[in-house]
Amino acid sequence: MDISKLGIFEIKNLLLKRKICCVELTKLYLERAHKLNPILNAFITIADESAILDARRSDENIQKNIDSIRPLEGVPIAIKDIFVTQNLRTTCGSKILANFIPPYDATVVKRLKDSGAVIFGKLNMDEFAMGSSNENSYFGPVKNPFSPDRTPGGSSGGSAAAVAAGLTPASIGTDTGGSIRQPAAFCGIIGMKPSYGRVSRYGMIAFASSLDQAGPMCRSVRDCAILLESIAGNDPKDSTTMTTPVPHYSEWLAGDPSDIRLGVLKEGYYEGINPEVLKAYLRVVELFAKHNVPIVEIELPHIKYAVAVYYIIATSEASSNLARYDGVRYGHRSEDYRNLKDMYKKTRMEGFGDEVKRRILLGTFALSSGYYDAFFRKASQVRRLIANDFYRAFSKVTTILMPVTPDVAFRLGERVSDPLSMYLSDIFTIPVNLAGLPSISMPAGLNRDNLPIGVQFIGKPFDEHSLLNVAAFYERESSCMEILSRVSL
Amino acid sequence: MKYEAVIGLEVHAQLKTKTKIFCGCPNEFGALPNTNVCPVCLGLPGALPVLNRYAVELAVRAALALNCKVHNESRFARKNYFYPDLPKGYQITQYDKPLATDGYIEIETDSGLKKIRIMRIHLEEDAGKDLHDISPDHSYIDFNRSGVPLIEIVSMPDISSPEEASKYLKNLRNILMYIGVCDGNMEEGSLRCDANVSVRRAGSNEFGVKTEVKNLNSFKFLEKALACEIERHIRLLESNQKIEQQTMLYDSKEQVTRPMRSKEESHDYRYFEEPDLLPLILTDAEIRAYAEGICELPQQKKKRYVEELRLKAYDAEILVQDKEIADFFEECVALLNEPERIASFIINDYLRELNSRKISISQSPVTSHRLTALIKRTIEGRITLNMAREIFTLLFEDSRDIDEIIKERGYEVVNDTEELVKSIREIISLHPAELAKYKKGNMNILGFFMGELMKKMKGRIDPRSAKDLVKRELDNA
Amino acid sequence: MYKIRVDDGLIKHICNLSMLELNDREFPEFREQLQKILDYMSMLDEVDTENVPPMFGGIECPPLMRMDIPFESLSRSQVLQNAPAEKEGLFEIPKVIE
Repeated sequence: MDISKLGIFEIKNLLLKRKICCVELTKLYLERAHKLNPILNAFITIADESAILDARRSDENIQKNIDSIRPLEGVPIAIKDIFVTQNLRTTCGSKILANFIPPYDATVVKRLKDSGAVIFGKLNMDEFAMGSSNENSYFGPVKNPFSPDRTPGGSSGGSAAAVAAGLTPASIGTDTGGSIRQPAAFCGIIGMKPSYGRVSRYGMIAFASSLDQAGPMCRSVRDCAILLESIAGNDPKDSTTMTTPVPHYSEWLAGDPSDIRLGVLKEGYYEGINPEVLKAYLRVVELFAKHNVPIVEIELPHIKYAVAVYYIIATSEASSNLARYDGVRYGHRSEDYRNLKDMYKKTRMEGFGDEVKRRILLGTFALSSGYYDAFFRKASQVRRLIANDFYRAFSKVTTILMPVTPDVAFRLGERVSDPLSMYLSDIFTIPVNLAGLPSISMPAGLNRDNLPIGVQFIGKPFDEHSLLNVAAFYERESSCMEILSRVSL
Repeated sequence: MKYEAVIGLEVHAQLKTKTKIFCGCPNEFGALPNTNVCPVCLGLPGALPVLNRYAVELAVRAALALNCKVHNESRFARKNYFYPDLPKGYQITQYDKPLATDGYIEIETDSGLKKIRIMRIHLEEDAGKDLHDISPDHSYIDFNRSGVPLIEIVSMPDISSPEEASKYLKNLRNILMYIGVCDGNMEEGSLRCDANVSVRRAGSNEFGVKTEVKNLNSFKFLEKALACEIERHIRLLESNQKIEQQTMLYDSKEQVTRPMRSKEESHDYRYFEEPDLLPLILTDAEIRAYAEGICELPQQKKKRYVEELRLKAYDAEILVQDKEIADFFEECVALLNEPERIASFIINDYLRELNSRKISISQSPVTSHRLTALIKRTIEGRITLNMAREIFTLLFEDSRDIDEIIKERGYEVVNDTEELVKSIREIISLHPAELAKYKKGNMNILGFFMGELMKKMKGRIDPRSAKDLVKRELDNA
Repeated sequence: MYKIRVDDGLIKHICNLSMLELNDREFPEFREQLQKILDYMSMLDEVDTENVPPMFGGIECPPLMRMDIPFESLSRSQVLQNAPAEKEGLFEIPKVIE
């Protein structure tokens, strides 16, 4: 059976119709992962044993009767190595956690397991989610399935590459400044960042606490809805999750354009981006216009400050979140130190990569005495202005359309020596995180080098259901997912 | 040159909750190391804090009992520093928006009641425990205490002497125990105290250089350490030397304060608002509801004892020092409406027995029923007060009925008039010379006969009624 | 205020605060990168933020609190399962001098 093009919805059908059993299916994914990982390097850990056990349990459930079958029964899934999985190594792409075996499950993991999913692997990522190319991983870079000399994007690069290449039917990634949407755009798949507070962060290794959010990365909008349904909702273990009820997202896939009012920025705002990216974006605008969807020009006057604001706030929160990696209770501890302070310094120096160190230092600076007001506090004020810009825009429109990145996937090694230019490529994704809004990244065709281009639909807080409707409409009318037929690994 | 001391105290009190402040681990002292630990209080990757509602309630009660203004909105902050007992590399505390501010406690001084103002009270989490004395090469850490809820109570520098500091701490501790917020156990570390000390010329309004004295965990050490440090400041000033702003520890053996070795540069804690917790919002209604949970405080109780029960102020003061004792006293008074006698018995005898046996009143076998029964017998005249006091000490070991003990030990006062008269007549017949003195008008000789009777009856007489009998017999002899 | 000059002293200071150490290669490289980044950040100076309340945190609503009911802790072996060094149920570290 060729599993390389299967999504969750198709797998559910196959399993329920007994065309294949869970154990067999899981074995196929495990084999495929082992075979192709040397090429793509998408997996950090492949969980052969525990996956087979879980698959067996799902087979038993399916045998029993229809009532005991859970929404993701027997569906194999690999997730970003940022979610702690009990008794299964979790590294966060870092040397400092290279051998860390968590004693507990993240809530997202627990919910997937409770829905019957078979977690069979942990996917590669930029260390501590800091990066836009998956080149900052202790476990080596990931290759883009569309072109092996290019990055898949980051930080959920392993997840994006694995989904695009059919190594996993879908994945769960995380997005702090674009880390789901940008790799989804670079790899021609769908990636959704839900509203801040929609999905629990308990057990999701923290980078920037007020920005991080977990979300689905899939081959279809329907799969997105199915996954979001199973992971979303209030968690008593995470004080920042809302009690807003979780809609049946699968019921919002009609793709009905009648109530959409699409907001767009003035074209002049996109001066300087790759012309092919701009063209693809404009084609999407045209598609909606052709279906009589009102296109409304909006203004987001403070959006140009978003990168500066983000890199102050995110690094500040990160500098504090990463202080726990000190070699005392878990993780890497240096072997060569003279005293406690030395142990701390050497452990962290040996355990963290360059980008992580850079961000910790930047964040420490922004919070330090004498600089807190001018940096952290100021950035937090501008953040509110950016969020207010969006809320104001949403009084005129239901959805905002923007490109995801200013360029297509760049070559491996191209940007590593210039961190600032790397940061600037997040210019369209970052504002969404600052405002806590939901956004879904969808493919919008290929450039002349056959590299995917993405666009994103941004919604109001907790409006994921409307967003999925818009995405379903776009998916149907544009046939954008055909792009994945270009990948044959 | 007269100097005056300026002292402020920072007290950390562990809250009497069942679980820790940000996770559901048990809040208990003395458990096996690292058995009350979860991902949150261990600082594992991905862990997040969730606030304990009861910790908030206790903190609000404490703030109200200390006359503070409780704020409707307060916020949590991260205090960032590296230390092995701090699992996240930061402590979750409150910084510029604390739970409560502007309170006070009153203490009794020679010149009357003095108000010591409280600057602020805020919630925070405790750290783990470092064990330094197990080995010379390593330190060892137990995270059971990590995440235990604390309130930090910071006073204004209104305290002017080590004695005042001790009184402040005693009153504060008592109030917190009274309202059930903290168990006040200083040996176990439920209540910890640091002091800020400076010295200035008497009458001046300026503040001198301040030093911090840490870990003053008994009243005795508090007073000694403060006296020591004040003296050190004065000595330095008198010899025109500079006082370094530093942190000191009290060495109880040498009786000196020493600078802490590890103080290199002062910490930059990089406080910022905790993004994993949302602002703590308390409505006025909620604050009122928490206030109702507060019982009568020591000062109010003392006032009531003096005004309504007619106790001496001094006795009332002793009784309210310990809520358990005060409760016991009130229980006794409910059984037997003789507050003065009961108070006297408790103060003079019961407390002594408790101290010497090193038990608390809740561990004592002598219940309010037994004590009041004993005291009742003295009122009835069946035994004298002295006898009652002797019997009382027996009650700690002997659980028999009081009347049985009285009978067995022969404590019963002889009330049989016939027997008494017989004995009196015997004594009179043995002492004709003294009788003659009495007849001549020497009233004092009555005392002699009373003494003889007391000896003969082995003290088992009720002096007042016996005296009347002796007088009557002497008159008729 | 915003034109910060990144010098060695500043870098050493933040290294100390964050328990990081930069080697001889990293130090100048980092200094240059940090300077570039901070120069970029100075654009925030032009934004008028008078009376704008800062947005700390991603969401604004009253928190849900927890009841004071014990929840299962980890077992001691789970607590220690990743400990780099332990002895008799305690985490072992180099001697801490008070």
